[in-house]
Amino acid sequence: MDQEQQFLQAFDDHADELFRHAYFRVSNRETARDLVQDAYTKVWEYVAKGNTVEQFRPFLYRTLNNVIIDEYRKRRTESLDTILAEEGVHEMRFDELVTGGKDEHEFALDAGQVHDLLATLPEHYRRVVVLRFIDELQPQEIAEMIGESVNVVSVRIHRGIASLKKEYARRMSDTQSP
Amino acid sequence: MTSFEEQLHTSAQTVSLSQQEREEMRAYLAEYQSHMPRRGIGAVEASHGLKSGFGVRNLFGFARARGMAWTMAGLLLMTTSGITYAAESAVPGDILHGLKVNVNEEVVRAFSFGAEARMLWEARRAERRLEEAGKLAATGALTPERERQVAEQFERHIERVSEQTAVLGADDPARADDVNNLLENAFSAHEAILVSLAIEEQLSAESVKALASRVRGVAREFRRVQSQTEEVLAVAGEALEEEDEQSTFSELPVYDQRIMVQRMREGAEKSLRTAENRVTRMSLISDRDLSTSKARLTEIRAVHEQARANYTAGELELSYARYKAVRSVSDRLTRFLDAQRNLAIDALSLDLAEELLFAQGTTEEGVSQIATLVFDTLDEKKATVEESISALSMEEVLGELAESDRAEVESLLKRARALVVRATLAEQTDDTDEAARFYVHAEEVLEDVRTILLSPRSTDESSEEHDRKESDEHDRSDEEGVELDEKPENQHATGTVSITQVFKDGIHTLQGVLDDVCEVEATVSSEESGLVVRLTRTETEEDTDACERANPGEFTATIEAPQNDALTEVYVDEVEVPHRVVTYDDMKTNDSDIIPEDDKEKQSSAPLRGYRATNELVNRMIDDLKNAL
Repeated sequence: MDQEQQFLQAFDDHADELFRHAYFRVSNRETARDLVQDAYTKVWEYVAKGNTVEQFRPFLYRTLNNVIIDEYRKRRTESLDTILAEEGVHEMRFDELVTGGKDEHEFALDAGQVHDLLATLPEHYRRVVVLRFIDELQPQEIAEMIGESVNVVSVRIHRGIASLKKEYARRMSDTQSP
Repeated sequence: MTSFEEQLHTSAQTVSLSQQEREEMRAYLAEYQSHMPRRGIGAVEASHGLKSGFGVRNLFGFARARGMAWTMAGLLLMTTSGITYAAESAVPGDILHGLKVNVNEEVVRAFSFGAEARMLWEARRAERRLEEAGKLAATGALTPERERQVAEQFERHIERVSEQTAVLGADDPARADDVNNLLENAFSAHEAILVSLAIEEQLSAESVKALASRVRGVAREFRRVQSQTEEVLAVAGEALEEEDEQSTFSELPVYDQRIMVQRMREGAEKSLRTAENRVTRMSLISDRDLSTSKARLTEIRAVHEQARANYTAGELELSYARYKAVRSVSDRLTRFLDAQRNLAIDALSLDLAEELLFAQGTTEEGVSQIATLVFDTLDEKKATVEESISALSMEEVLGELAESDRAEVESLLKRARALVVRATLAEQTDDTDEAARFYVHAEEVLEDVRTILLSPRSTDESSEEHDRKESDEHDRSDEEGVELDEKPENQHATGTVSITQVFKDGIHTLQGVLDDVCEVEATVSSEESGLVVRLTRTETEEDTDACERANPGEFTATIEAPQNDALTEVYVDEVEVPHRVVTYDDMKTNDSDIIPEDDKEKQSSAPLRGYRATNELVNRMIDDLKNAL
C-alpha cells in the first residue's frame, strides 16, 4: 500500500479516536473537528513533500497535539508558561500511581460528565489524562509524544485523576445535599 | 465495581464523528491529496502566497452531503470530470467561468472550516479575479463590461473576507491582525501589477486603472482594520485611523514575544523560500532578465540575517519587525515574478519596498525627508513630473538615440508613468505621503533618463565599420603611394556615403551628398533588412566640372515607414557602397567648419557642402533637445 492509500486508511482507522481526543481537550465539537482536519492536512503536506510516515497513528497524535497547543495559544486561556512549564516531580513508578483500593467509589459516568469533568482540569493535566485513559496510550508513548519524561507524565496522570475524582465527589455531594 | 478510570474510558468512547462528518472530511482530504500529490509524482506548487483552490474530481460525497439538488450537477460533472479542471483556467466571458466561480470555488469554501481558513480562501478567490482580469488586459480584452463583472465578483469576495475578519477578530485579534497584514500586502502587490498592465496595455488602460483603484481601496481597508498591536516600526506619515494605536509588542511577556517572533520567522522563511524557488525556476525556464529580482532577493536576505542576529541578541521587537518585512517583500516579489511570467510585465520596478529601507536601518526621519523633499505641494510636484515625462517623450528627443539607448529610455519613461499612476491612486485614497514618495521616485527615474540623453552610451555600428574601413583605406593608400586629399574635420573617407536620417511624423527623410557627382537621383525602399537607398548618377563625372547645380551631388529621399526602421544598405548605380548614418555628434559645428562665403575652394568640398545643407536641421533639433531638458 503506498503512502496515499495508507493516509486514507489512517483516516478510516483513527479519525474517530483523534476526534475524541481533540474533543476532550478543547471541549468544543466544531473546534475539535477543525483541529482533526488540520492535523490530517498537515500530515499529508508532510508526506507530499516526499517524506514517508512509517506509523501514522503516533504521527497523527503528535501532529494533533501540536495543533491543539497552537489552538490554546491562540485562546490564551492559560499562561503559556503554565502550560509548558516543567513541574517539580519526584521519582515515582507508574505502578504505584495506579488507582484502586479503599479510596474507590462507585462511579457511573456518562460522556457528558466526562466532558465536563475534564474541562475543569488544567491543560497539562487534561492532555495526559486523555491520552492515557481515552486514547489508551502508555506513559512511555505519551512521554515521547509530548517530550516529557515518563516520571513527569506519570505524576501528571496521577494528579489529574485525583483532581477529577475530587471534582466528581464535590458535584455528587452538591446534588445530594438538601 | 467499575473504577473511575474505566468509566472515564468507557463513557468517552461514545464520542465520535457523525457519519456525515466523516464522509465530508474524508472527501476533503481525498481532494486535498489530489491537489497536492506526493512530490515526484506530478507535484504542483501553489502559484501564490496563499494556497490556491483546486477543482473537484469526485462530487459524490459533496452531492450526498448537500442533498438531491446537487446530485444531477454532481453526476453531470462526474461524467465529464475534465470540465471541472478545464474550468480552472477560465476567465470572465468564458463558458466555464461560471463553473469555476460558482461550483469549484464554492466546494472549497464548503470544506473550509474555521474563520481563518474561510477568510484566506475568499481572499484567494478575490486574487483569482484579479489574475483573470490581468490575463484579459494582457490581450486587450478587458472591456469596461468585463471590468465591472470582475469588480462585482471581487467586491463580493472582499465582503466575505470582512465578515470572517470580524469573526476571527473577536476570537483571536492577534491572528486577525496578522492575516489582515498578509492580505493588505497581497492586494498592494496586485495594485502594482494592474498599474504596470495599464501602462503596458493601452487598449485596456482605463478599465485596468479602475480596477487598480478598487484594489488599492481594499488594501488600504485591510491596513486600516489591522490592530496596531504588532506594528513596531510605523511608516512615516501613514495615516492611522485610531489615535490610540501604538505598539504593545513590548508589553507582552517575553515568552509570548518569542513565540510571536518564531511564528513570524516561520512565515518569513517560508515566503523567502517561495520567492527564491520562483526566481530559480524562472531562470531555468525563461530568458527574462531577472537581475532586478535577484538584487531584491539579496536585499531581503540581508534583512533576514539582521533579524536573526536581533533575535539572538534578545532584540525581539526589532527581530519581529525585520522578519515581517522579509515576509511582506518576499510575498510581493513572488507575485511580481508570476505576473512577469504570465503577463510579461515588470511590476517589481513599481514596488518601493520601503519595509526594507526601515529594516535596513533607515530612520523614520530619513523617510520623512524623502516624503517632503524640495517641493511645497503635492500638486506642484505632480505637475513637474508630468511635464518632464511629456518633454522627455518627444520624438525629437528620442529619435536620435541609438536603438539600445532608446529602448532603455522608453522603459524608464514607462516606469515613471506607472509611478505617477500609483501616486494618483494614492492621492485618491488620501495617502498623500505615499503619493509624494511615488512622485519622488518618478523624479529619480527621470534623472536616469536625462543622464542617458546627455551621455548616450551606445555607439553606432556603422560608424565602427566606417572607422575600420577608413583605417584599411588609409593603409592601402600608403601602400599605393596615393596622396589622399586633406580631409577637413569630420570628413569621411572617400567612397563612404554619409547620410543623415531623420524620422518625423511617420516619415523617414534621408539626405546626403555623393562625391564628384553633379546630379543624382535617390530612392528609398523598405525591405526585409531595413531601409535601402539607391542612388543613380544621372550626370557623369565628366559633366561635373560644368555642373551648374547649386548643390551638386546632394540627394534627398523620403519614405513612410516604422520608426525603428534603420538604414542598412546604400547602392550607387546598383553597386553597394559603404555608408554612415550621421548622428548628433558628427554634426556638431565649430568655427573651423564655418566656410566663408567667398572661399570657393572650400565651398566646393562635397562633404562640407553636405554638412552645410543639414546644419539648419541639426541646429533646430539641438535647440529642441536643450529646451526639453
